[in-house]
Amino acid sequence: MTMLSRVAERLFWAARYLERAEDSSRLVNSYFHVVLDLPIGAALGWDVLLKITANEEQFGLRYNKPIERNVVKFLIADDDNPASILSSVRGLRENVRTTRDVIPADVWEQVNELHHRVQDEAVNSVARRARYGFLTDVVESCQRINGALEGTLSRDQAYYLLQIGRNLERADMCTRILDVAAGILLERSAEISPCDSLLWANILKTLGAGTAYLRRVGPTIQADEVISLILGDEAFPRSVLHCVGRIRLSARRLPRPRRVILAAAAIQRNLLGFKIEATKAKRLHGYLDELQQELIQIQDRATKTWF
Amino acid sequence: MNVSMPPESDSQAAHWDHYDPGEFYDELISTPGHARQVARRLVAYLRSQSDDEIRERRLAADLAIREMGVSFTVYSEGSNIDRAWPFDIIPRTIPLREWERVAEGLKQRVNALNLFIDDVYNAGRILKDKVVPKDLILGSANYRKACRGVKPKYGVWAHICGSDLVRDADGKFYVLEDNLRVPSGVSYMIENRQVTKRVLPELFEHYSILPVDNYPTQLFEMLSSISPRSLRKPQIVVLTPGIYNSAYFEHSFLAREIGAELVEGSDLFVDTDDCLYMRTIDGLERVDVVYRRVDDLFLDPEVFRKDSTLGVPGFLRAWRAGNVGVANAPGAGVADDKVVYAYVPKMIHYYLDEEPIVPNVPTYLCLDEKERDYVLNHLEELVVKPANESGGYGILVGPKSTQAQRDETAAGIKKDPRNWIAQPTLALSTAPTLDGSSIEPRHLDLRPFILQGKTTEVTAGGLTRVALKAGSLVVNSSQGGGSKDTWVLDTGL
Repeated sequence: MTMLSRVAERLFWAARYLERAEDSSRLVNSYFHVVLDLPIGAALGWDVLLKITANEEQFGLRYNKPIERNVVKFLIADDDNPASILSSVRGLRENVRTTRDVIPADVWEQVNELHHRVQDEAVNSVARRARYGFLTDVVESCQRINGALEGTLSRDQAYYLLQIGRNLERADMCTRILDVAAGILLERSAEISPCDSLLWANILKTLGAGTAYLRRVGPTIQADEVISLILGDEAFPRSVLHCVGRIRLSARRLPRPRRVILAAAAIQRNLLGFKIEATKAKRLHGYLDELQQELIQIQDRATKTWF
Repeated sequence: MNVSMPPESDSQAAHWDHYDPGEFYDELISTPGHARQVARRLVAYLRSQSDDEIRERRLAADLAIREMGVSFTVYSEGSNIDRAWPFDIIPRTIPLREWERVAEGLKQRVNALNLFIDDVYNAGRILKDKVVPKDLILGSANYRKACRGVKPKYGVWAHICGSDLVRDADGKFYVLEDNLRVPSGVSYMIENRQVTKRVLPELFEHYSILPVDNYPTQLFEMLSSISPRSLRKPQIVVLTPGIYNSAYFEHSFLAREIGAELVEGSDLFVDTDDCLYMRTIDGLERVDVVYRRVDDLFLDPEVFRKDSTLGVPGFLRAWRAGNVGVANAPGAGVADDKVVYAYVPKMIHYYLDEEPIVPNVPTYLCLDEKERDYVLNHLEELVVKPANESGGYGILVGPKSTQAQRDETAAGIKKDPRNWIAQPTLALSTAPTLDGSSIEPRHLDLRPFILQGKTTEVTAGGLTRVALKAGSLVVNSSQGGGSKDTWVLDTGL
């Protein structure tokens, strides 16, 4: 079966945008919870979210202060922020709209529905009261779309391109979230603060990893265990190791996959040898930085090979 | 008396009894209260329905169209461009015997047109013999120098032709125009039948209605027949200008139906071997046949418009070298011009030595001084058309025009006489059409599609377009027209 490069690229991006919309919604929602839980005085700034999504600069061009309202508006409903939930869903719809010959019809309908919902409600969901419901809905819609894809899309090239897009975005988001945690620790002295476990618990929640952690480690939250779960637990579907493994397997089902497979394999090896304590925040930061570069490498090679 | 008939008050019978097409030829009703033989069963059935039942079926049709995603695009509507396809549930009927004759006429016409196009770009006999004025052709906006000397397979240039037919008050079919560039509408013909099957399934049990859904197979076979390589399954692509084109729905529909790739210009690439390739994740893949839905002038920036981003540099080179089949061939539009149209009966005599089976509408050419004067003096009675527009744009319908519109058209004619023709205002036939729950006569035309490659095929009927406004003669969907399913019926007549 023939797969046009243009269609392949749009599928890849459709999956990335879908994952980005879900991950950003999770992130904003759970960050809000951590803010609520922290004792007064220990409060974290909302600019942490900007660091995670790596667009502080762009934010600065358009807003004065990284106060909650501005940051949340920027991340949820800002037309000009290419990584906002609004923009991600628009990107998702545009890419699905132009690949409708490949995507099952009911997936297109659900994407359309999500798009209209976000268009109508994003701006009014910046306020705390409306926000939780809205973000939860976006997450659920994204999961429904993924479910429909799993249930109705033939396991051909289109499916594997979507897999690669989704897992690359997911791995990318995991490294960003961990990196910010490392950053927060870096800014402080090395001593452990009572708020730390709240922070790490929140990271687990963002990634939907609470239950996985409980079963793997237990109820006590330890930074090292959180990091090693998120980076290196093959069995957990949002871990970086798992995502990279999926990319590698999916690439094998596509033509001329060698260079992409090699890049994925390098990351797998790297992760299997991982051993850094959370308290060594500086080293952790360097390591995550390297990991992100390697993920970009996969993206570059995929583009060169297939698009 | 039929006791099961619902009471008169809320049934459709009253509407049908009052239906009066007046001076026009009506496709279903001969005189008030009397259905034509071909439509008798259909009308009897519709009469027996209550207003509520008709309303339900109408809603079901709307729903089916939305669900099936049948849409069309209007340029002027800004960003929200997909509109649901307007559809009337009452089918238009044509007796098989009559249709067979019309189909013969259409084949004859397309034969002559293709002989003409091939002649014009090669020997030029018809021009040398002064049957068609040379200047008219060489000066035509649709004449492409770059196509001279090319000999497409079977001598066929216009592989897909959509000819518009109308019936005048005398009940005879006339050809109104031939669309040889990128005629559209065939997907709606197929979808209309799907909708009718869902909405009026009962009627399909008792009528033998000629199927229309074999069109994609015929299209595939025609396209395969023009492949330069003899492969069992040649690589066919449908070239679309993209999602913002008014016929994108159709491009995507046809690509899916014939199992072709739907490509845009940027997906294609002509290599130094003058072969056409598409970029796939497997690398470059050779393309054998292009069903192009992009206008000539945008096809190849090396030859035509340099600013075109819809085309493929080198496309014409690949076609001229015989490495790719292109339907319709570039340059085929030279015969799709309302002035050249007037010469088609002469072409049929010249090339085939036959009488035209389906006549032209009488046409005045403003190119000719005498005819031009006649047109300018009779603007109020005539329909005046620019030679090169499609979609009903720029047309003056004399009897319905204002003085200002007539002045504007007159100025246009004087400025560029070559570009204008005029025809008598036809009394277009009507068919019963739902307006609320009442049934009203509305004017319509018919666009059959003719495929020519190794063989020639004509659709059973075609796309019936209907003007939904009372008295209106404009059937184009971009200007408030709708459509009907078209039934060619074998009633033994």
